Amino acid sequence: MNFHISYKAQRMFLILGFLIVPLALLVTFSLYPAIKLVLYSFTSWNGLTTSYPWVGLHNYIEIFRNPALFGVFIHNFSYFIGGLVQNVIALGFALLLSKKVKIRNGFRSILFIPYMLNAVAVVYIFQFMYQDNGAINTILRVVGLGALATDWIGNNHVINWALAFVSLWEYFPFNMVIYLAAIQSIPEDMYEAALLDGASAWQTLWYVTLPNLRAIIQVNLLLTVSGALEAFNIPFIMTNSAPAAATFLTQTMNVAFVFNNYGLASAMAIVLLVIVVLVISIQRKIVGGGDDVV
Amino acid sequence: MTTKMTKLTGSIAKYMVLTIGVIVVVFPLYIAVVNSLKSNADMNRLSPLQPPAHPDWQNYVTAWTGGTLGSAFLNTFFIIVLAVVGNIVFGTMVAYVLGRFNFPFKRVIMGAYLVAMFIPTMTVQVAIFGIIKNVGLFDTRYAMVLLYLGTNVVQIYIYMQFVKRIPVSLDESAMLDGASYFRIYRSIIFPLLAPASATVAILQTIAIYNDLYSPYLYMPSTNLGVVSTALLRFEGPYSAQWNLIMAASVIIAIPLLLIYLFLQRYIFAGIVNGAVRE
Amino acid sequence: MLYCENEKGDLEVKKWVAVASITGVSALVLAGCGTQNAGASANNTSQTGAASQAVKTITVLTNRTDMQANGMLKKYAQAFEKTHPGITVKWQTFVDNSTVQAQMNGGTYPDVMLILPNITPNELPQFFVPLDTLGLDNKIYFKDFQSYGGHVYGIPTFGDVNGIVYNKAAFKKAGITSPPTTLNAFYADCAKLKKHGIIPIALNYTDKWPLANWTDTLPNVIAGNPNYLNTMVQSKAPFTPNSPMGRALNIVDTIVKNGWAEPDWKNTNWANSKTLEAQGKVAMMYLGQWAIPQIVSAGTTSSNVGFFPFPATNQGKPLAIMTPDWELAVNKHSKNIPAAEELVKWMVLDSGYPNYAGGLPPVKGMKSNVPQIQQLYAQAKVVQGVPSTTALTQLENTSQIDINGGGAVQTVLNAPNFTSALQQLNQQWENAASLSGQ
Repeated sequence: MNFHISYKAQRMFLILGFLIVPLALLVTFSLYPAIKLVLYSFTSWNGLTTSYPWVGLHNYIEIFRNPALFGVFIHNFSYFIGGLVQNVIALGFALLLSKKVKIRNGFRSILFIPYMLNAVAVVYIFQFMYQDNGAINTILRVVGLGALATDWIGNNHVINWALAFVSLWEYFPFNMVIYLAAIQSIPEDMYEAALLDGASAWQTLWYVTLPNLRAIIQVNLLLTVSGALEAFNIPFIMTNSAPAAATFLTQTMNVAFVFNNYGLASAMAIVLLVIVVLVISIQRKIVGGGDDVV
Repeated sequence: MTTKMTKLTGSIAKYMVLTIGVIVVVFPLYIAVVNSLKSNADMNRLSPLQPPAHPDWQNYVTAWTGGTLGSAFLNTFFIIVLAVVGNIVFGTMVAYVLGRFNFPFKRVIMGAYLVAMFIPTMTVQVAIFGIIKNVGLFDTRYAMVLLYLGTNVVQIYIYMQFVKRIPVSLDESAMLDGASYFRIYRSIIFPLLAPASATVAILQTIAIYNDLYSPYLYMPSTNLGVVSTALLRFEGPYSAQWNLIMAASVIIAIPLLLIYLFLQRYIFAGIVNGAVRE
Repeated sequence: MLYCENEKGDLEVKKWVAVASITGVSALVLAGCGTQNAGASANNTSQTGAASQAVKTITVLTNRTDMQANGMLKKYAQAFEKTHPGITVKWQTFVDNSTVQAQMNGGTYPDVMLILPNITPNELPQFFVPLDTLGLDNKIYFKDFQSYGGHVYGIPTFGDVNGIVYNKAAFKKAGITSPPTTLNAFYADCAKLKKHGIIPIALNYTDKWPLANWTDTLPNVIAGNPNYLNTMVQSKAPFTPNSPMGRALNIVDTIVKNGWAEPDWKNTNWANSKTLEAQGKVAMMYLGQWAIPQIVSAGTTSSNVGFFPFPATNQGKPLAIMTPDWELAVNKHSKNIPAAEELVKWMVLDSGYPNYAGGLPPVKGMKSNVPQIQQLYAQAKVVQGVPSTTALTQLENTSQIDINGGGAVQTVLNAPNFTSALQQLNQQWENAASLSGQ
């Protein structure tokens, strides 16, 4: 006799046994901390003492009243625009690489490299290039565009764009590879039909390729937009979160750890979360796209 | 005739755009490598665009020892291996159960994973910190392993998609042969999920290799640096010496580039699988 | 730390037990039980294991990443371990206060700590053990800087006196024969230096901490009162242009507006500037005497570096205020409090660190090895600093004005308009004051 347990009993054991550890991890490290965050956001806890004075909505009001807090979203805006440009560039390269370009794979391999570099190393390389006598100003002067040379990190008008460019440079390959795969999966006969109808290259792009990419564009935008709203590493490493480059997340960490106002910082984190979800929903409405993507 | 002309100019334009792209990508790498090989004197004398006449490899030695990069690589490797194996095991288990069975609270569980994806991990660190401390793992590499197991949840979605594509008839015929559910998981589902596991391994490796803030927070001991934190700590005292920082940056870039060189195809496929969920 | 390094095999097993136990802990959360107790017991089991080991490991926090890179930390640990068998020292460095703060939030922080600037005196007993019993009280200066309720919680690593560290050759090149003694003369010298192609004064904006002197020392110097900052809590508008704080900020703003700071002043750091000052490309920096040996070792001679008090006003001898640098404290939750206390004592009395760091030795009778300090003393009225009150630190935190860490200077310098920047600070201050008044 073997020890056959009925499938029904097995099922129960399996469901419980397989889910308990992963769910415990999920609850412990994602959901439970998130709930705590919500609770903290209604207190003026300083992060150190054991007293949690209840302040109601005060922290939320403070976020919108204090321009030093909500105002920094203007810096995130650069990353947002950078993210859109990043998608256009990635899509552009994907379109070029999808055609029968000779040595296509060679181009693709090189263009993808930035994504494989360590994020901290990338920031230092760009910080070095952005120096006053750095590579970028030097090359601008060499090619006679010396007038464009500037203090990339010191000039308030360009700093956030300079930082957003680092993000663009590092992450466009990621979007590019996804676009490329999606373009290549569009059935060939759709293009043949368009050709028979006498469609121009632009018309084919507009009426065949892009509509087929709608869902993928949606995914890519979702990733870049939430990335833009949560920008942290680049300003943190390159400028030590200086005022001209502070983003909402660097400011949140500042409030929590420099000014010991953990309650307010928690409220800022919740606001950020809500904004991310809102922006994503709005974007879904605009770009459309099916339920087949998350 | 004219169409041929437009085609030609079109193709020239195409190559020009691609070449510009390649230049923009390669230029920073060139700058990093060239300047990592300059002596201090060359740094002062030459423009950042000029390569040194005599490469000075000493910078790499200083970066390696001063940045304690050796132990940083070991720690990073250790964390990646454990976290990736854990994520694959747990991910396949969850996806199998959620993908094959119906039971109460299934939708709640799926919803919980969705919510977890949107929580910016950085902002919940104080709450997580208490947990890591309470299990006595603070300032150990296991803290990071556990954290990645708990907060990196994207693989659940990847696995769910792949599980759906495995025909249920395979399960059924195994059941006719008297296989247990666990056996079905072990000998059918898990092996057939191998491509998804490759995707998960690739995405997680890249994510963990690049993570800065969590290891910075949970492993403050100087001997517990990972590559990102080791580079950050090295930069402080040497922030004037770009040749050294570039050398350290190049060293840290090499491992993933090597992996890329050999596993390019899988990496592309992995990224696509991770983003596209049909 | 909780674990001993030498017992590797056992350690690995314990960690795995802990990994396994967390899943149990979380299962309890799922079932609706409290995590606190379950977590604490898991914690205790792992700690009792470590406490029974013969070798005690203490973790020690330091801000000196440079000493990690040049191997000095290792040497200090070895020197201590040699005279204190049975104790192992494990260093922790930090780049950013926030990570240390997060450790304190979580209740797990190094055995020997540095007291962060935004900890208020009344919070000290919550984190650290009183160090009155170390027997250092009568031997050291600055003993009451980190104290509360009559107990001492922090022992200074060394003392600082702030002033302008300058390159003598650069001054000579610009035709400046003696250091300025009035603010107007200082401005005139800046102009001369700039005319001779020398950067008059480096601010090190990106590092942020080098800016702190402009708001946490200079206003006291201007007011001629080392306690001035503490009196700010009584003012509704301490940032008006004529207040000592306003005047201090105005000086640094004037420097920037006239181009007397680094040309790329928003992208500058101390590590770079010390080399530039050693080379005479930068003439001055407003820092402590500790900077002098570092500038010297960055490539010049000690005789080429001078030190004078900041000529904050146009009349009278300026104040030079002596304050403690980072202060060492012992973690209240440490398993090895006696060992940690031994290390604190050793760092102050026997390590030689105060002199290595170029500090004023905190021990009475011990001589500083920075000769330039005498030059500064000769030109200033030397006074002891006054510790920040709880009220001041709390108001700084609530108003989110970073006076101690240099953040406020960054904000003002970055603002397009100086006057409105001060108004904004006053506004934040008033809002915070009315809040805490409730």
